[in-house]
Amino acid sequence: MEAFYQSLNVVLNPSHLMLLVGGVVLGLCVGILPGLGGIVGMTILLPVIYGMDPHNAFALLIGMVAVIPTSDTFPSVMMGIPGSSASQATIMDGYPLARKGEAARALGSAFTASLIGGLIGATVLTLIIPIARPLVLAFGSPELFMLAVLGMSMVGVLSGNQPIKGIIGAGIGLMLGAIGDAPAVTEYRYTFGIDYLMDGVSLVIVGLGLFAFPEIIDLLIKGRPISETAELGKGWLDGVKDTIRHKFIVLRCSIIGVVIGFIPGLGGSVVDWIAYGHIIQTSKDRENFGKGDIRGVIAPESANNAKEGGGLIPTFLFGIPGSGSMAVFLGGLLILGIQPGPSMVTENVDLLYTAIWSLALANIIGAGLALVLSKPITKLTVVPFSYLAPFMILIITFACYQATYSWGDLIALLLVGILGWLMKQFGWPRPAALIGFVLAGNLEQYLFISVQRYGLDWLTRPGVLIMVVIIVASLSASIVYQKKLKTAGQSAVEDIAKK
Amino acid sequence: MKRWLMVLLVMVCSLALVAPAVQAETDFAGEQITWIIPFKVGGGSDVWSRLYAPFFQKYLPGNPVVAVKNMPGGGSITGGNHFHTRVRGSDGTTVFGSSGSTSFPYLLGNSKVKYDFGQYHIVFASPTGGVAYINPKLGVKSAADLKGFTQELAYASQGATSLDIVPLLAFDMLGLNVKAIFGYKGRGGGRVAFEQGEVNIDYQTSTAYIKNVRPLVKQGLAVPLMTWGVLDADGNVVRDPIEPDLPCFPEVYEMIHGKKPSGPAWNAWKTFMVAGFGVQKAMWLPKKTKSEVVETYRMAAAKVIADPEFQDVVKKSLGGYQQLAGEDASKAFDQVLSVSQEDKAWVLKWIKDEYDVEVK
Amino acid sequence: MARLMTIKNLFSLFLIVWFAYGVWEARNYAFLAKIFPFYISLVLLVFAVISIVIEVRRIVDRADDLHDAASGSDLSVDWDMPMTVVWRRFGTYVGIILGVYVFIYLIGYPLTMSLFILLFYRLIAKAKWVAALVAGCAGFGFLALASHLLGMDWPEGLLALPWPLG
Repeated sequence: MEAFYQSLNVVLNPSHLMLLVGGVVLGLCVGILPGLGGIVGMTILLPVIYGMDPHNAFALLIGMVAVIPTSDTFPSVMMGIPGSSASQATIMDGYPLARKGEAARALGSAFTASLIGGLIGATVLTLIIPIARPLVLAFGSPELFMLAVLGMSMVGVLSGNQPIKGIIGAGIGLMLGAIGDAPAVTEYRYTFGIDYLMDGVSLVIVGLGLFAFPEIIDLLIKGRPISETAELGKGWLDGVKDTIRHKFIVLRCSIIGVVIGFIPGLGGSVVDWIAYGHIIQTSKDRENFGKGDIRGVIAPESANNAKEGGGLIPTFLFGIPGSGSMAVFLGGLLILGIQPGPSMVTENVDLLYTAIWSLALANIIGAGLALVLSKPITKLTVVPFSYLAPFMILIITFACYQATYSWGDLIALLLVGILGWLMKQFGWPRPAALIGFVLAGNLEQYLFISVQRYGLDWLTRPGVLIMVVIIVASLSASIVYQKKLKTAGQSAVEDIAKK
Repeated sequence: MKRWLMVLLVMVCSLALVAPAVQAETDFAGEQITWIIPFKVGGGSDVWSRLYAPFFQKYLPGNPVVAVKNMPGGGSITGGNHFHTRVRGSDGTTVFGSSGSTSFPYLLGNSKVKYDFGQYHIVFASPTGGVAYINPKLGVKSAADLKGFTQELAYASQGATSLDIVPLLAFDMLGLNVKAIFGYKGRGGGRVAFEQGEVNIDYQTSTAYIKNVRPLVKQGLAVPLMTWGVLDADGNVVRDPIEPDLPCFPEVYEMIHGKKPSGPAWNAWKTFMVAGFGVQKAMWLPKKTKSEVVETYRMAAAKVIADPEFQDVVKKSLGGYQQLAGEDASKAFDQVLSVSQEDKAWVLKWIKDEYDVEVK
Repeated sequence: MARLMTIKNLFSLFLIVWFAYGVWEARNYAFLAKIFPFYISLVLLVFAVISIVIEVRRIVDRADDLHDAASGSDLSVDWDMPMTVVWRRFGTYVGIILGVYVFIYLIGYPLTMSLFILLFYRLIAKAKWVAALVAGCAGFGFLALASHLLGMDWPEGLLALPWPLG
């Protein structure tokens, strides 16, 4: 416990604070630019930290990574373009709010949710350190497979009243995810002999292709500003109040965020969708989701900040990064001469606490700065989009090129983008495709390992059975939801007929 | 004013004196050296290059900026092919960093590989080691107990053509009944699977072993079996200084079979061990590089390795192994290049028979 | 509307072809690499066929095409212009992006993008020359900054230009 407070001293040291603020500012910038996320931020910082004191380096790295899910909300809410993979689900309700002229409210509530989520993440992280090792070890391959299935089951609530389109939508994602080298043997699948496809298509490109490209094109075709009303009436304060009103949603989704964050292998990219799906499933009045329900902003935003705390656990204690940015962070640790492992909670516990304090502090600074920025930035939504479009095209092509630094990145963006636009026009759920894409690798890998190792016995493991119960519960929730919708839809048809 | 002139004059004179000496050698002043790393940022090879880069900057004449350029893809084949086909210069401003995963497809004759180490000039190489360990519940107390051990073991593997050839072939040569479970990502994943009990035999490279497996050994949760060994000056496989009390693989082979290892299996194992561990990572200059540039690089590498500050880095982050510069590296890597066609064919057949995997 | 329906069905047909190709291509993969894509695409193929049957039946029944996307599923699209215009503009913009790609290939990324921003402002956004120039320079400045300070790369053109042009 003493180390815990000693670390606070280290963190509040002016030079440390300066670096932390520097990291936060970089994180905000990287987050706000669509397609650039934690991996790029880490890559920028890696050469800088060489020879630095580890505590100071942590201030930079963690300050940066902690606030990406805060500022990536800007493009998600304002343009319907994911700022990074952590804020994809925020689009679903945040963007419709912006179109109603309520961008400020959505942002205010998102940043508050991010702040509280980040703090809850740091707190939970502190509390679970003593039991973190056994907790992580409890998730063997069969359990991880079931978790991926649970993630897939979210497709149920995200595919509206046409489950078959949801399934095929998810399938499109799975097929995109199957491109490239197979997990178990050296076999390159669906590559048409193109070297670029050997490693598959990167998540950045699929995310931007499915969401950013269609949105940019549609806004250009419409030729109008994003916001359909000129006045940006409701202020950010209403948003803050919204979040406080829905404090239990924040709490629940933050815990979902931490838990999924610390489970290695699932990756942080579905946290937002799981939180979003969860909140739809557990709400009685669901009619407004997808049309600008503030809860649909609060849920993913509290979860995605909380997950960064959880993500540190497998990286520090096992040296197995749970996400792309954590993989680079792991490299940073090695450059600093720190070998992750069990000793992180014994001899190096001061570093761990420095990380946690930096995480908490970065969330506070980041949310504060983002709130200050939100007022001028929301004005962009009333600017005619053709002024913004070329810059958006510049940023997304530039961001995509950072994936593998090859021409394939740009071509893949265009192709996936056209696919995304067509899916949008014809009502094929893109969220389902994205979830399928993210989970394709996990599903295949963990199923193979489970079957190779345990035959069919893995199906009776207690962890697996618990997960089955959760999945069944979640699926039946969405079926009930769809029935409701169908009756609602029928009455709508009847209404139209009457007229 | 006069004083200034004096100073200027002295400076010019001293420059004039030094200049011819510098000109005789290669000078990189004001240039940028691009170091192609065919892996992602933050990976093992990336970290390795970033640890070396500032020291090369210090010791290469003219102190050029040494910039690491990551070119990931195809398990390092993309970057290797780029180096082979696109880098044409003879001035040494572009170098390449290879790793075990670059050498393995080359050795196995993967058809996508265009690069050929035989044509390049090695600057230096970094070895690493591997330590195998087993779950104590199986009753094995040391490598000696492996004799006649028939129970089926499970090993978490990344694939039959990956670095796992070394452990899998070793286990096979010892007569162990090891089932490889494919699909794991990275050695870290394998280690966690070991701790979970999902698999019960595993190995880690030295640095990861020290931090992550030694604590398990102390708690009685893992029993170390053997190291893969390191190469001595004559190219023999000897005990690893990291764990000097542990026998190395050829010793264990002798324990079990009563004779020294030999034959195509042993030749193949040794080749892949050297490629995957003995000279795991290496810096290369392209084919047409002028010989004086190669010499400059090798001298710089020797100076880097001798730097006490760098020795500290080696100890902390590179497992403490003696880094090989110039001729030493070249001699060690020759063991990889000189592998015979029969031995190669033997490995391909072994992979096909054991795991039904064909290298295309 | 009728036109849209046909293109819509064409897209569904494309999915069937894609999944069928998925099955066909996967049949020869090594065992461990085959199972997942083979069965996934097989199941998807079945669903895609069912889906297109439903679609066709709807056309035949002349059922009102209720908006497919329900709440929570995806962002909805409502056009206040004829679909033909939408398609024409879509084609135009994709064409513009393709043109940009060609120029990137020829003269490199930063120069292309700066010119693109400038021309886009002038021709499509109908901005004044001054605004267009400022915007073009801003884009160029961003790229120069990103490459210089952050060490990020961009595609180089055939025409090798000195930094920061190429």
